[in-house]
Amino acid sequence: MAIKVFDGSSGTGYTPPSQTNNSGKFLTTNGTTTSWSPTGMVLLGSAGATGSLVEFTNIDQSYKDLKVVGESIRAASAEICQVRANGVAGGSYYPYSYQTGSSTWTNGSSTYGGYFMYYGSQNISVVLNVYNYTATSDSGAKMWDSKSGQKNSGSYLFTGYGVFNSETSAQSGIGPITSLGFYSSSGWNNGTFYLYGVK
Amino acid sequence: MTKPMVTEFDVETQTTTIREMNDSEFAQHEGALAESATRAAEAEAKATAKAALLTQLGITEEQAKLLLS
Repeated sequence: MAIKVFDGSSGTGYTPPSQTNNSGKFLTTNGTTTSWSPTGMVLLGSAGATGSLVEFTNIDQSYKDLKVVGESIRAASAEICQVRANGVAGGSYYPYSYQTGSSTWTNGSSTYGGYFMYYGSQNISVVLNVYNYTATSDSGAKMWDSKSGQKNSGSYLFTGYGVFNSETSAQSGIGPITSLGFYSSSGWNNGTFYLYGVK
Repeated sequence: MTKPMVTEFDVETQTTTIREMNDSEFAQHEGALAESATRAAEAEAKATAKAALLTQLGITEEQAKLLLS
């Protein structure tokens, strides 16, 4: 539906910027020009947890941070699942993770991505934040952190963190994050991942 | 050989595509499986060595934890 804005001072109406690809954004102005601006936390999309890799692509670059929430997530068998950015794998993301059941900190995968959640045997809730995701490779660290757990066992509480563009890793050259992938070697078989943009 | 599937959600077009892994993704998948197997073998070897040491010392795992706490 087309929007028409009435300017009270001039008594005329005008058409604001195109609504295409601006779902959930708010109309704002810099005093001269109107534009669509993201505010707060906006749902950018969701994907069912099926296959071995769930990937969000063409991520909107107009937010400050990203948040991913996974609900009722299951894999085919027990494993620590991985996250990667821009499809880049290989080398280390230098992430570390902690699982209450094993009471140990471990470094992340050297061949794929960062460990972001542990799947045991029941539905998992997981949240993952990516900070400063639009930074170029030289303008700031793209830090991420995550927490996951299942309702009936304290042994499966898990936390992980890392930097996608650590200068000593294979990902040192990656620019703004345009895609985020969630990988299960045994295969996802339940749940949904939700991707939010945070202003 | 059937490759694992990928669920891809395009934020710009709001569309979901379910497809097989491409060659690059499949190579990464195989690398991850190999690393996982290596880690599992290392963990098993460590657990075996730990159990042997406890036997040698004649103490239980709980007693060992108490000693180290």
